[in-house]
Amino acid sequence: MTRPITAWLALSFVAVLYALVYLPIALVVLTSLNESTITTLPIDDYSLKWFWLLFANTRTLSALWTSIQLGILSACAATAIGLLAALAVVRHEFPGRRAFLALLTLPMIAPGVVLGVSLLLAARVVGFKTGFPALFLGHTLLALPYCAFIIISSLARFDRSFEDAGRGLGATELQVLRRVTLPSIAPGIIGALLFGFTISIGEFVVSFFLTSAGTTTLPIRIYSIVKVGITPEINAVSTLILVVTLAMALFAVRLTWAEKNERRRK
Amino acid sequence: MVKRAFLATALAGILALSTQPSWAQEKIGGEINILSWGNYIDFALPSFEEKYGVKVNIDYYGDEQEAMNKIRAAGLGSHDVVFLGAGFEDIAIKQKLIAPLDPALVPALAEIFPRLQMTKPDGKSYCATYAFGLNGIITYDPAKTGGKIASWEEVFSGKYKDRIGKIDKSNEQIWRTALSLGYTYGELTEEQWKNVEERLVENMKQVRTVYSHYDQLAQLLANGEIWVGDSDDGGFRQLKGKGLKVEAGYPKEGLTAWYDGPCIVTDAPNQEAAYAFINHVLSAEVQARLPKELGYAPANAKAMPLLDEQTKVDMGLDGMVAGMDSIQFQYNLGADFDKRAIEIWERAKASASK
Amino acid sequence: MQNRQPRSSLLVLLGLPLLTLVALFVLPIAIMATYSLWSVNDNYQLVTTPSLDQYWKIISTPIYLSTLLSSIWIALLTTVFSVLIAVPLALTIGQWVHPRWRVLLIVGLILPGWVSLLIRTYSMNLVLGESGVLNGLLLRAGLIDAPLAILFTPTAVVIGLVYIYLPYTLVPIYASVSRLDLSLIEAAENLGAGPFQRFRHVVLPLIMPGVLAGCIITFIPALGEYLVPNLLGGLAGIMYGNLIATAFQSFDWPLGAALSMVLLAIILGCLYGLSRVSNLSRSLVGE
Repeated sequence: MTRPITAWLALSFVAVLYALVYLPIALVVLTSLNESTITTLPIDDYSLKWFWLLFANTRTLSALWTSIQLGILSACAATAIGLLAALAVVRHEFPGRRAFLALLTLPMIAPGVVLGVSLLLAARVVGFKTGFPALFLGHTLLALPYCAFIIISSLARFDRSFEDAGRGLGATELQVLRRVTLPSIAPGIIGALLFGFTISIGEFVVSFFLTSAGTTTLPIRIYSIVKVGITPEINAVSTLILVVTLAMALFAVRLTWAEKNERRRK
Repeated sequence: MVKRAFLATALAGILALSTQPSWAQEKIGGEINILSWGNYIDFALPSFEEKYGVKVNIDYYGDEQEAMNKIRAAGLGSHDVVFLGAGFEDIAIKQKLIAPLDPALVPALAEIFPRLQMTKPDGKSYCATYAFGLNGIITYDPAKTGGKIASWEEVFSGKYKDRIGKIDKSNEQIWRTALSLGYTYGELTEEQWKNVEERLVENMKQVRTVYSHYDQLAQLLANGEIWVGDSDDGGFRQLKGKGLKVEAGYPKEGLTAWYDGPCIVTDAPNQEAAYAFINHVLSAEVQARLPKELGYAPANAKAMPLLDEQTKVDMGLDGMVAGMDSIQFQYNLGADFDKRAIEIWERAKASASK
Repeated sequence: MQNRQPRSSLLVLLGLPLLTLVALFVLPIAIMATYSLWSVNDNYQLVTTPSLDQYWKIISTPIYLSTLLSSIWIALLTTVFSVLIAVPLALTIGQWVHPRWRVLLIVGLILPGWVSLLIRTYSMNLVLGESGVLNGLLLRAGLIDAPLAILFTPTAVVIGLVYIYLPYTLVPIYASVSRLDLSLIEAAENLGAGPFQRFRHVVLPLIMPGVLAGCIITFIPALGEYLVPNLLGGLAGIMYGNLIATAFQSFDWPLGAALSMVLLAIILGCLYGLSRVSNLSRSLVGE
């Protein structure tokens, strides 16, 4: 398609923006290769020693593993619950729909400190111990609004006539859901899962109040190392995470393309 | 033949067992959850784990409040040992977070210098002193400041305007200012509080930023954002350890001293291991390594003969031991004092941003 | 508008989400509200006689309200700049970028969120500092003579917050943009409207729900931020969230709870006010 001058200006604006966004990230990767212990520029010596140290540091690795497990579990839970909420909200007119939506929004916008402390206080009152289960619940709560709204967005665009066609051909409600609706909103679901994982893996403030002696997440571990004395080992972890997430994101995008192409072919 | 050898070994074993305290040779097993400062006791852990067969889970904190909050958050019955001192253990005692030590189970306690036996008014010991040192040191970059700095007066003379950093701890800031005004450590009168606040607000005008832990200080000094900061000797050691070319100035207005050591958390799950751990880090052998590993003087008097002469001279240990009675250690001045200190510090910080 | 489906299926659908929200959000907040009516004595023991002492303290001590006002200001600036960047960004991606690359670009903005907040903020130090990348570039380009002091100013805080929140602002705005019926814009063009008029009278009203959602999702969480402002702003970066955190860290949970309730009240007030002004459900559900 032919693009006017404004389009090229706009695209260069986008390019510059992305460069700025990734500049700090590039610096993180760069400093993970720095020989010296302090994060300063310019870098004099390069070395991979922080990566070796990282892999020898079982505590950091176990924190990473905990974060990954938490991310996957809470993303799945939040997406599942979000799907239910989305179906309810988009498909039904009911008194209190507005209030429900408002309630659904609140965990997304309430400050982390408020959520973290309230969860801790509640855990104390009920006698629930902090640790992995508490973290799982906290992260699910945080991710729920994002997942729900992403799926709502997808669902709202979905053409119900496909469902009617399915019903007309004799399928049950559950079959209609499974065979017609879900595949069509699959990009939304994948988006919700991805976002939920993002929320969980970066979550610091709420986790701070819910970790226990034996369980810690990666952001908390990084924070405690930083207080002790930051080493580029932490930047090495971050670089590692970047590589992994890039791979996952590319995979997810590939999936979406495959879905779209498949549907086009049908 | 085999039977006799077996009996002989068994007899020898029984004899050996009966002459030592039960926990000293038995593998205790299990795990122990320790809350400690970073790089503080790590060097002593491998020998402890091997000797007693206990797995150590160590969690770090950046300041004492964080340590106590971690215990409160996790609930009693999860952590075993926490390192507190300099008056903060009194706050922990009030909150019933730590339990008194049974001196019979801590034989090494008797070997600690008398001045460092921080027995509480109720006659009980709660925390054994593991190490001690100085607080309120001026850390500066001589290349940027162009020379030595030896007093707070000089720091705030105006030469280093907007190149000064302060640590974000209310009590410490109050005390550094109070000492600059010539006050002694202890209760402050209304007039003294007023003067401290005035002077602190005045000084804050020259301060560029505050930092919450020494790594931030390191970054700020390394990047040249600030030239002068304040820390304790542990922080200074951290800075040197990172290769920073900084100097320590001991302000002529005076310094305070800190002490710090292991305390047993209330309802500790592995009491036996906790006591074994305390004895381990208080033992003369481990204490004798403090100068080299951490740059601190040992708290155990019996560790002194184990040190080589050069170390004693470098650190001025003989002089320190001689003058130990006159060291002004920090202690807790009560909840009201702390509250007021926090309020004044918050106001001072807010005023500086105008 | 929608097919009437049996009420029972509604209950099944709503059950779990409602339970989650009530158990993990409503009840904990209620517990915190209770704490805000208590106080702590000198021995750090909780005194459970109900009183409004904490709220009185917040109103009568100047530092709380003044910090709240400056936090509102910073959050407002963050929102405005985020939206100013997100709208052209979304429009460009929606109009001029090949459909294949669109998702990748959006995901590309979300990806940096996976790198620890702390690490990203430390890196921002390297960018904004006196001997940092930004100053280095500007000096070398000859645009300035001496390094700019950006770090430890409110500017650094806003830059840092915009950096964190841009992806959040973008997603709802882009969702609106992607639903734009381009034929409407074409029709306006054919009727003789210039680009600016097209934007003001056709595009903007149509994407307004998304912009509104983006504003909410940026302004309100930014109000409660304190970690990033602290690291980048130094003394100029002390926000209301700091006061909450300090209260809790100093073992004064009732005060922290009261400060939190005040913030929640403001947030709910904003939401209520916005819902009066526009159809918020529409913005959020987008139909």
